[in-house]
Amino acid sequence: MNDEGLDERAESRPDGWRRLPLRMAVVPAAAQLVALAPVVLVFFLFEGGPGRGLLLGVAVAMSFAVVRDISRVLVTRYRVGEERVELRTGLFTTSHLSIPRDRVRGVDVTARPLHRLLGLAVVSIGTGEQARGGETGDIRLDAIGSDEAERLRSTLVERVQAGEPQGEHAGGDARAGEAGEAIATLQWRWLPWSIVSWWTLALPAILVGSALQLLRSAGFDPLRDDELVRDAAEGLLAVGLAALVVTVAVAMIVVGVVARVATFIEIWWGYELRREGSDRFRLRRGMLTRRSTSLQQQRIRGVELVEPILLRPFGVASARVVTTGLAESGGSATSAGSSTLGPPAPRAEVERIVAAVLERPVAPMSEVPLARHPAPALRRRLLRALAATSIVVALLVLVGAEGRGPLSGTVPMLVTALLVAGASAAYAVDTWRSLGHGLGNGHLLARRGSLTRRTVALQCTGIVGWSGTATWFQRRAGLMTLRASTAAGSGSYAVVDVAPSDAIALADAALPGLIPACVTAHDQ
Amino acid sequence: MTDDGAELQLRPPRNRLDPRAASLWRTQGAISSLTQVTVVAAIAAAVPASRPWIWIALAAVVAWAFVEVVVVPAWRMRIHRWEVTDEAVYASSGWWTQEWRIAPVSRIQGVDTVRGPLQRRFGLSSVTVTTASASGPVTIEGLDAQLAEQIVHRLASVTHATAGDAT
Repeated sequence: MNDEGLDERAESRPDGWRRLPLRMAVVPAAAQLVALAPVVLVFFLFEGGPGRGLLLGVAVAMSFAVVRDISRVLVTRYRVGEERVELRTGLFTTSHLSIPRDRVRGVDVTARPLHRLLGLAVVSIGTGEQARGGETGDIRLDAIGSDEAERLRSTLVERVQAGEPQGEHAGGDARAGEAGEAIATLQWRWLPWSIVSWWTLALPAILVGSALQLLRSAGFDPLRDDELVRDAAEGLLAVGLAALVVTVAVAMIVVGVVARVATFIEIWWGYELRREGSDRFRLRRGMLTRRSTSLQQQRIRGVELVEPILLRPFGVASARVVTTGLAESGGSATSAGSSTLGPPAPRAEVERIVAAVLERPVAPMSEVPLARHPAPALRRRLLRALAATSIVVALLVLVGAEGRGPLSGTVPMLVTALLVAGASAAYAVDTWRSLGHGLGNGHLLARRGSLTRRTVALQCTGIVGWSGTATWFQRRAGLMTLRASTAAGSGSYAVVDVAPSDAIALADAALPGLIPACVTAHDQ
Repeated sequence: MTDDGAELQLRPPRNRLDPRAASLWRTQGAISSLTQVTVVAAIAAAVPASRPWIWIALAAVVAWAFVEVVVVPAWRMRIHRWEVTDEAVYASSGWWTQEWRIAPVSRIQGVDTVRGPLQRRFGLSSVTVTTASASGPVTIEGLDAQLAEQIVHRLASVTHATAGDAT
């Protein structure tokens, strides 16, 4: 029984099972070729490589993989019925995945460049629940025609909206605008913020390192064999070591900046966060890989504000949504996480987006004060800094005592030890100052982290349980860590190193009557 | 802190574990220590070069065995407690790192019992209560098997009565 709205022309059998489009079979082979191209290129360009044997082995392995992937594509079937979404796949062991349509929480449509070239898209249908019994958490259709993917997405999402139990909303007067209004679109002036990142330096280093490795394994060392590189290096060395170092550093920074700009464009091209209907948002982004994520209001449990340390002095942050039904994937050098709401931007603009998504007049982070955590927490962190410094100093003494290495000699060792001590102490203090918690307007706030400071605002109604842990050291210091469990996001959010009475008071205020607390009068 | 400077403190759960739980933990500790000693002895026998160092390893294993069999079970018996009311499931556990967990009954999605071979021998079982959160399960181990069944039935009937999908 076909669902209305799905493409009738698509190949389907009378019982409703559809196959993946045949052109999908091209994708695995093409992907393998693309991945292997650099290696093959190196082997053919530079003689003296490991030889035909290895190449043959690689070709055989590759063809096995291609055959396996093509067979998977030919064997997979899916069906979208009135009650369930089903997927049957597997070569040797057939697996039958099914999800009741009422349980669908989120539908994600992604299209990588190769998929887009062929007019395909990958659909991820999520329930946000763990696997239990015969039902599973997620169904992934890799891949179906992009038109059909779009239709499937709206059909499934609309159906969910009709049958949903009503969650709690904040006041309706806080709404950002009429249905269909764009909450945020790409602002090119945000681009410079993405350049200020560790990856700007790390990525070129990794690239150069891998390229050198690859070339060396083919028996070619640019520093030794290539005329141009040798002449350039010797020329610069003649001017001075500093010139060489500066030139290399500048070159790497330029490469890094170019790479970051390219990454930003690829991730955020066409970025748009738009309210769709009265209860959903649609997030679109991506140039080569085009992504479209729908976020349903009833499934959103909060927002997390992320402040990387390099961007904190500029007041720049980014936001992630805490919601059920979305597979949590973190960011990396070349992609943003699946729950990211937008690129790094000035805090005021990010808070405006947060307020719109949470349907509040103002973002909780900006209106709820965060309480400092007690001094023992600072002591713990300073002790850890001391321990780390001691280990480093011990290593230095061990190595330096034998007169080896660039850091031998009293003065360099002393300087290094002082630097390490200073840096670790500063890190300890910053980590402690970043700790904070608060409660206001139906949201629980918790903040932690130094290199990446994260402030989560969690709806109290979304908290499904509490847990409190205290290691022996924490107990001695009079501290504990309180965790709020939630079905959304990463599953639990922690208020770290807080006094037990504050933790209990916080939990009791967030969900009154649940915690079996008793009041003990404070004798002075 | 509430007003008047009074502090809120968490009351521990009401019920202690079945006394046989201590025996269960001791047996588990003894088995694992025996395994470790066997491994160390095997290394000592097979690799003559390790002989001087192996005594240190052996001493460490024996010390840990003492901790696991004598110290930890008694410590655990003082800390592990549980309580099941109509509103919530509340349990505390641990020894070095101590933990308490609360799951409101309205958010419970599943109740399971687990009985490993050792547990069966002692007539004990554990109850695991899962919520919608991946990090949410509350586990109570060392319960008398029949008591565990009663708890599971009670929770199953109460959660059945609650509407919604508990997320």
